[in-house]
Amino acid sequence: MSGFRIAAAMIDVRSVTCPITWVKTRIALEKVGLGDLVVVLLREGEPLRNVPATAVEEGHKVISLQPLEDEGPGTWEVVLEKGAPPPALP
Amino acid sequence: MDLSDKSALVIGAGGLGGPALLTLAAGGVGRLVVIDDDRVESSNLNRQPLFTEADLGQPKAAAAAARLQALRPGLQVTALARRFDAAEAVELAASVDVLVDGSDNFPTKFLASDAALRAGKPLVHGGVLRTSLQVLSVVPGFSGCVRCLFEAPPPAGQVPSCAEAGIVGALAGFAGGLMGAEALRLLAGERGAYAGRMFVYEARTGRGRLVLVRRRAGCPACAGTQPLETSAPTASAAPPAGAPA
Amino acid sequence: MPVTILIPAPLRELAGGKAELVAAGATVGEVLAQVARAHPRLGARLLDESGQVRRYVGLFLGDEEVRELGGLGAAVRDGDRISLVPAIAGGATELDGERIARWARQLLVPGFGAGGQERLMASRVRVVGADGSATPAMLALVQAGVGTLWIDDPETVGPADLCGWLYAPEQVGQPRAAVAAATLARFSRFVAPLPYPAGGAPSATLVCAASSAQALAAAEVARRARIPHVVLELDGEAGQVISIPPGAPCFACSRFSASGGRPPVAGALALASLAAQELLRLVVEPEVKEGRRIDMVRGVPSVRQTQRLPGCVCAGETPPGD
Repeated sequence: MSGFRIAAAMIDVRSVTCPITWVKTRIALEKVGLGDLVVVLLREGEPLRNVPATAVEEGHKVISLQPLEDEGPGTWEVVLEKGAPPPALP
Repeated sequence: MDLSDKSALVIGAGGLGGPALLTLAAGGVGRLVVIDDDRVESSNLNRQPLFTEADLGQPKAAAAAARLQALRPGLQVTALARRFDAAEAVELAASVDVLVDGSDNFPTKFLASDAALRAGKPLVHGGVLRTSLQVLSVVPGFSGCVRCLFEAPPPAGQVPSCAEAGIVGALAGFAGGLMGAEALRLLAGERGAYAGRMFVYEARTGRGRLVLVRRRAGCPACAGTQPLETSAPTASAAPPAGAPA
Repeated sequence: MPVTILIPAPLRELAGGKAELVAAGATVGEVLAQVARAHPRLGARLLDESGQVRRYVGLFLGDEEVRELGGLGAAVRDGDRISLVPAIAGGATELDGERIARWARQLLVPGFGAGGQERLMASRVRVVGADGSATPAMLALVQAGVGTLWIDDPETVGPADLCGWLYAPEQVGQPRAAVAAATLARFSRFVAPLPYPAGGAPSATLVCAASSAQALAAAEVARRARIPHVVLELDGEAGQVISIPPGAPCFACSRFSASGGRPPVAGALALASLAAQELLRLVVEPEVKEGRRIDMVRGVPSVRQTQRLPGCVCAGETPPGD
């Protein structure tokens, strides 16, 4: 789609550890609308391995993923687009 | 039924082990052994009934023993603040009448089952994850074991997905309570409601079912030829179902 | 060149309630500057004192980061659409960092989430009957983070209550409600357990009454108040848990009346945890309309949907929203 898309929410989970990194991300995704973007600042290592992968498992899309060294060493920025949750198991 | 001369080993004093310990204590068991190498963290307090705010940062085994003794002053509790490992697993199993496995990782669950078989003692296995739980008793010589059910732990090195770690305390309490109740039955000399039949319960539908667990032909643990393996000290592979407690 | 700026729900109040604004400018920067002049509070969220876009405003053109395209200097064209960013780091919800850390594990359960936790935090749960067999349920509710737990029980701690998770021998003879409240408070600094205040208006009720007559009376009060309630009845090693969302068949319709009323054995207390689970489900998921009864005999539960008995006083009621 043409035009700018600016994220509907932005969170910084660099000061917490897994699984709180994902819990906070999930809460942020809960609060925005379908198709909205959420920007997550996180640390490399476990959060970087877990958060985008878990987001995809839960039906969201990873729009971008890049290091942001000028925000601090080991900082990464992940942009997620909220998708519909996968159907619940019976 | 007087169980004051009976003893139980409970692996893990958390979401499953806690309710199981409380049930065993309430049922009049004379001696409990609690083994847990962890310390109490805030995220434990959504579901681990032995620990209060004041216990944050404390070793779980000791805090569990203190709480149990406060509720039942005559109870003998041995607190082992270490990992349940292959070096002492069989010796520990042999020292009690029943094992209850409330551990939160598959390598320990396999070790517990293997050691129980070697020592000839019954074991209650359980797991809870998100909205479902499972409970199974392994009765040596009668039923299948945890390896008959799962064959092998998932390969180490799989990073667990954060989304798998969900659990509500009430459901863990139900699962651990059922495990404790089953252990009491086994101690009383009864067959056990889940001996050879794994009980699986889904909280959303309220439906439970029993899954037959037969001895698998060639199961090395049932044959007594399975070498005992300790799990790695760091958090290990994501369980396929029902492990985190 | 007019450009449409889309305002997401959390920011609309700063844009005069509008979902869309139109602005003109040759670049992203000019467009945002115009928006900031027309809506200063919104502008303050987007631009810092020097007029630069705050570092934490992510800009995208389609799926591409605008940083790559020249940032504020990126050209805009007729018909371009821009959406806007609020930062929601901490403080914007009642779920602060400490609470998230405490309830992290349940926040991850499907169907739970922040919405469910907030409903729990806002709930006032009355527990009718606080004997030993109710203790696993009370503890589960406290650990789950209900806002207030009201304990309605006039009796004192007796030797039979020592089978549970809360009462110790030296408390025999003391009032159960007060002892339970004080003990439960040690398990969570986020919950206020209190003896039930006369005239209190709970938003949910858990009935663990000692007798069927008390259970029927307490359930009827909850039914008339149209609040979700769950009734636990234990009988030796068996028991039943009946969950009743507003408008569902009432307790009198649903219960299995052949209970022997024998004192519960230690192993049956698992049902108390299940009763708490059922009540939490009704609070966290208010869209659940059907009632159900779970019977457990010898460690194996079975569930059935509850049905209204013809002629019952609850006949003719419909769930809210029907």
